[in-house]
Amino acid sequence: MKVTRRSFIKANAAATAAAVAGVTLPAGASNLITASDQTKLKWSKAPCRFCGTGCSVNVATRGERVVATHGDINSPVNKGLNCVKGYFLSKILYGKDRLQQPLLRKKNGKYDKQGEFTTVSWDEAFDVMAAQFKKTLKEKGPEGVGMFGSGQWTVMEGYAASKLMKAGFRSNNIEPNARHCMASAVAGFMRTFGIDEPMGCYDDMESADAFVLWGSNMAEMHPILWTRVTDRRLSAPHVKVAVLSTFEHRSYELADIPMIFTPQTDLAILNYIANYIIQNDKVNWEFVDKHTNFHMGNDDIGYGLRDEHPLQKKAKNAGKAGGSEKITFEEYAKFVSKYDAKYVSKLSGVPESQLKQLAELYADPNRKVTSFWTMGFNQHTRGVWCNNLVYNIHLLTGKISTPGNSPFSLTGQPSACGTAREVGTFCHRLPADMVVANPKHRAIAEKIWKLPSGLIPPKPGFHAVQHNRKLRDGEMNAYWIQVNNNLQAAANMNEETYPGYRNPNNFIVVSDAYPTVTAEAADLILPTAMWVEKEGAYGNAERRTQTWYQLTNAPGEARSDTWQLMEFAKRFTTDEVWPADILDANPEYKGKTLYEVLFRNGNVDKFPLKDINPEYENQESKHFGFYVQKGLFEEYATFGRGKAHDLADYEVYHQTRGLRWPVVDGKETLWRYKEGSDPYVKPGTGFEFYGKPDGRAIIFALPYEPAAEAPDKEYPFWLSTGRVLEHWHSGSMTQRVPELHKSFPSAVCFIHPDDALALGVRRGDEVKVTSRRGEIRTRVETRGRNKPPKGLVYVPWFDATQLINKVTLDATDPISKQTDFKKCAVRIEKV
Amino acid sequence: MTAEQLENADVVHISSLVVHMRPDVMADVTDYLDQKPGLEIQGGNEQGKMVVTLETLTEHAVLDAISEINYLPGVLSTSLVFHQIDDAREEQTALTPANVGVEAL
Repeated sequence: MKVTRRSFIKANAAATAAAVAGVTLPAGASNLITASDQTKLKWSKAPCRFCGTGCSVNVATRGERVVATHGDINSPVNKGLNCVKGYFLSKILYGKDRLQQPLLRKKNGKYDKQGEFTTVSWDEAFDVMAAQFKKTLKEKGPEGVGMFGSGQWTVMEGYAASKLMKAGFRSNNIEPNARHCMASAVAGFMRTFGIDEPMGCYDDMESADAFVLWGSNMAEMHPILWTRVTDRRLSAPHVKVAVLSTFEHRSYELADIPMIFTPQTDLAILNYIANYIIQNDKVNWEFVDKHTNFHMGNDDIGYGLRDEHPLQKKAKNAGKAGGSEKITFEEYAKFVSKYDAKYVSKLSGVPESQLKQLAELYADPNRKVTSFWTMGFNQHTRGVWCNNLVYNIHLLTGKISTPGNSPFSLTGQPSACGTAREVGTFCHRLPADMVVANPKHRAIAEKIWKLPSGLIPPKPGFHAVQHNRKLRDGEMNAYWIQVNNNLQAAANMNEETYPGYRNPNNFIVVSDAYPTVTAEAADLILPTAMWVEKEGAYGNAERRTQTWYQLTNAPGEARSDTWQLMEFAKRFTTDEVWPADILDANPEYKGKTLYEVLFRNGNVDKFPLKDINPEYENQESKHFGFYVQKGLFEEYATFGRGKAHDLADYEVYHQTRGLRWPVVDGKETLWRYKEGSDPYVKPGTGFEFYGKPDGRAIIFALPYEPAAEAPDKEYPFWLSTGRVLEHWHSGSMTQRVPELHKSFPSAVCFIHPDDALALGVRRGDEVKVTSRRGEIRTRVETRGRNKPPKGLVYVPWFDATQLINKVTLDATDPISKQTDFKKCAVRIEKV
Repeated sequence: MTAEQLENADVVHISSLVVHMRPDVMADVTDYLDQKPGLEIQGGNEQGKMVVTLETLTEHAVLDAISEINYLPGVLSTSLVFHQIDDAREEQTALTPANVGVEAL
């Protein structure tokens, strides 16, 4: 009987996999459940909690617990597949050390920065926290408080946080950790197109004739998208895959053109391709003449270090890094002409023949090319330039906005696009690509929010890296961190982040589900509901907005970020935080709490509890007495509707596997800027880059410039940091899944076998990785998934016991303010 | 793990994988996988796609198998699609695609 039943399950397993692989008829799938459990499970949909791919997963709950997840067969993104992290999703909720009560550092019964973490009630936690924020606001004004949020915030959470900070506290010192991952992509889009996020979508993968991976290791970091690329490559033999990186990794298995380049020389390779296109008369003149302008960008722009750093003082254009001037095509052609094969080959270490093969993929008018990149470009002191330069190539050839022709910026976090970028939780942004520096944009926001005019401060706040510097310098004193682990994630933690958090003048609050290293360095820890413990929405890399219902309750007293933000807002009155002249001019706002003016404004509280789907719990809404998530979402959506950022009605997202904005007349948009597929393009134009006033995208002349720090005699190795397949970011979730932890328990130092030999170390030996800023101990790995060239080492950053960001340099792109985590100089010594 | 151990075990993990590989290594990968107890190749196509099922005694063995297959030369990606724990001690329920799957959604 046993054997018969097993045969049946096996047949079912095989049929399911075959269906997913596109071989036979569809059937269902399941995991982690026994036969008799079937009838007790309730299946719902949710986007995955991890990366920016935005896979949809089916989530099974039994009673109070999430018991299983699997790839959603009905999802156009992952088509039933799951990566190994997604497969173990249900387990991230149930780590043994889940935080369940607020914890405050106390000594002798009261708050003390040097005290021990002690459990307190939410009331006491918020009392102490509000007192600290009020003290700082009184002493330093709005610039003294700050918030560090996340591309893992739901859309509603990020929106509520942005309102509380920018309008409530009148401080623009709010940043998402997306500053570390997507800021260069954002600035690249804004500079070239005047509007953020990719024009194409994942459907490009099934149409492309060539894929070029610029620094991206999709095989490990975006495995589900990689299966789609692999499928296309294997099913259409003419398709070519080029993989470029500073070290060999898993994606090279599929590479037809495998290239290893010296760090930072991607800038030169990009210019070489543009030069090749021009020299070989492959410019698409019809497209270029009608749809582009040429600009010369400012060069010598510095490295985003502290102002007193010698490299900053030396830089000619450190103060106007984003500046540019219009030039002619001829001037542009002359500018790139020095990037010939010989020069670039010597600089990059890539053979001339490979450079030519790569350039020919783009130059061939009959080949549709999709370019992918993530942190290799974005975490780069010239990250914005890299983004601009890859758009140059696609614009010169007109290979853009049509199926398969797609410069595509991949995303690292589940809602870096949806929340950090679209909601605009950066220090300079407002929703729908608007900015605080623009008086018209501020007026629009104040009107939608039903708030007095003049409330939102015009000056951009401090950006993420400045947050740490300002905390260290004691200029920012009250700081709230939600949904991220910035002590582990930010560069140069020894010199900036840690001293900032432990500065005696500062009060640091961390909202998290687990006691991360950041939480442990805080003064107050707030236990937080995660993922399907609340209703939410995420926006993925292809502009797809997806929602989910609350599927289970958070443990103990853990509460969602939205709940925390709205409850905290109750502790402040307008009289305490807004200037007298604004209140005198608008007396109806006097004496109100921030909660009342921000969240009981007739918009956010517009939808009654009866609108909630009765099949699902919704803790926050029941607590506040109205449908919180829908109210926040709909108020937020007002910003983008009619302005090329249109979102559908909230309820539509619960019925679908997400839609790609702009959603106009109920229809999503797959390819923007192309007549016929984008409703915002005027008839007769063919293409229209409507983010720019004249409808033209900009091709930028930007040079190769060296890295902020390069190997020398004392520190002879390049250090690159990054992720591994099994772990996501700082590992605060995946390290708590026993199976994932066992698969890759500790960080290692990937190094070339010859380098290891020269250092007298063997695989598994302990070594010290040291830079000018700090050191860690780790173990040598000479085999396995990553194969660095001589002179470069790779250390993943997920491991809280080996904090590689003690070693890294906090040099940033001067335009995007994003840190370069891929390049600094280290030495390796045997321990 | 032997075939006999599998047969006698009360709890068996049954899973299926989709494996992508370069077409030129399909014969080698097939030879290799055929030697592994508890693993069966269920089908595929000549473009480098293969569907395999696994029977293992633990969940961790599923991951180990994925990892092992992933590192075979020429293998490009391995995705887990289906995983079910068959426990002979539990009462039996007839399984059909309808109640195994998520058609209700």
